[in-house]
Amino acid sequence: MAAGKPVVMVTLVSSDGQSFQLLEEAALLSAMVRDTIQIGQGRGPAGIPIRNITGQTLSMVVVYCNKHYTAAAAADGDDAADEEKKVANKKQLREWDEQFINLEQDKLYDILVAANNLGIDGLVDLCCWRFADMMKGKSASEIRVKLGIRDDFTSEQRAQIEKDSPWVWSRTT
Amino acid sequence: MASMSYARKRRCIRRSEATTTTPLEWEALRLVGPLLDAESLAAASCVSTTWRDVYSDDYLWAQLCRSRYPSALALLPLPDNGGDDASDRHSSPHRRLFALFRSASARRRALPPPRLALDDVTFAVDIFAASGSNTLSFAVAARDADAKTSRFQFEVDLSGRNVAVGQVNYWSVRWTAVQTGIIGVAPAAVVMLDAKAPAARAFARGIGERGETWARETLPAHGCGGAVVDAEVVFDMSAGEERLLEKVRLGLIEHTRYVSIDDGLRYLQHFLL
Repeated sequence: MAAGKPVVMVTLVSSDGQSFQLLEEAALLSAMVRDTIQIGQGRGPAGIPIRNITGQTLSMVVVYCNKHYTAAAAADGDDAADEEKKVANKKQLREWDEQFINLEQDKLYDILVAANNLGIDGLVDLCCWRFADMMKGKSASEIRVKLGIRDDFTSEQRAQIEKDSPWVWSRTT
Repeated sequence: MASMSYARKRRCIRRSEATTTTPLEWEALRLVGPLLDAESLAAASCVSTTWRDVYSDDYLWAQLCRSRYPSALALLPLPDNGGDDASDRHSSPHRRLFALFRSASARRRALPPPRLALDDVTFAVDIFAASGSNTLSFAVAARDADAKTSRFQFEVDLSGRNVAVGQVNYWSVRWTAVQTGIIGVAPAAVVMLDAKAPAARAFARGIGERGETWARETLPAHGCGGAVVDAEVVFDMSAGEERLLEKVRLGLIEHTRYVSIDDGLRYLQHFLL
C-alpha cells in the first residue's frame, strides 16, 4: 500500500443487520458500491445497506474483496518487471480462488446471486466456473441428483430433446 | 461498462423462496451456459424444462458452432426434416447444425457392415494350358476355402488332384465370384481375374525346392476412386522335377496387403447385389 494515502473505510450492512468494515478500495470491486459512492453516499456512519444478502453470505464476499484487493495492491507495489513473480502470484491467487469457491451448491448459489447484485464481475465468473465444473462430464440424471432438481418432462418433450441431441442419449437416461 | 453489466444482470436474478433446496434460477443458469462444453450443455438441457429452455438458447449453440465447426455456419438455414415438427419451438437451428456436424465424425468411424456374407459367395476357378485345353477347374464355397487369416484370402488344397504344370509358357486363369446364396436375390457373377500366369516362374527355383507362380490383375476402382485393388491367384507347386500343383490361393490386395474380409465383401457387393 502506498504510504501517506489516507485510509478510508466503508461499512456494508447485510439484510439481517450485520456490519462489515473494509477498505473502501477493496469495496470498490463492487460496481454497486462504486455507484453509491460516486453519487456521494455511503461514506457516513450508517454504511451501505445491502438488501437481500445475509451476513453469512456477505462475510464471504468481503473475504473475497479483501483478498483480491490485497493481491492487486501487492502487484502494483513491485512494478519492477519481474515476470516470473507476477506469474507465480497470479497462480497463487487462482489457487486461493479455487479453494475459496469449493462450496456446496446452496452457498455457491447465494454467493453468485450476491456477486451479481453487487456487480463483482470476478466473483460472478468464479461462481459460474465452479457451477460449470460441477456439471461437466455429468449426465442429466447425475446433474439432477447432485443439484436436487426434479425431472418434469412430458414424454413428448423427452422425445423432442432426444431427437435434438441424439448423442446425449447414448450416455444418459 | 462494468456498472452497465451489473445493472443488466442484477435485474434478472430472482430467488425463489418457495423451495428448500435452492434451484438454480434462470439467470444464474444463463450465466453458466457459455462456460459449458457441448456435451455438458446437451446433458444440462435434458435436466428439466427450465434447464431445457435456458440451454437450448440458440446463441449458446451458435457460439459452439463458431468455435468448433466454423464452416458449418455457411449451411444455415438447414432444411426442416419433413416439417412434421413445426411445433418444436425448442429446436434451435444452431443446435441442430451442431448435432449434424458432431454426428459426422461418429459416422466416419463406423463403416456399415457388408450386406454380402461369406456364406453367399462361391468361387469358380478355371485353368487352361496355353494350348487352350482345360487343365483344372473347381468351384468352392468361400466359407470352406477361408484361409483363416481374417483377411480376404482363400486357399484350396489340390494335392490330391495330381495335376502337373507341364512344359508350357503360361497358364490362363479365370477366377469368377458367384453370389447364389441369398433368397429373393437373383444370382450374379463377376470375373475377378482373367490373366496369364507364366509357368517358367514355377521352375525358377532349383529342384528340391517348392515352386510358385501367380497371376495378378487390377480391378476397377471401387466407389470413390480410392486405392487400387488387385485380384491375385497364386499356385503353389511341389518340389521335384514334375512340379505337381499343391494349392491355389485367391486374394484381394490393396497396395501390398490383403484386404480384410469385410472390405473384400464390401467390394464384391458392388457387383453381386
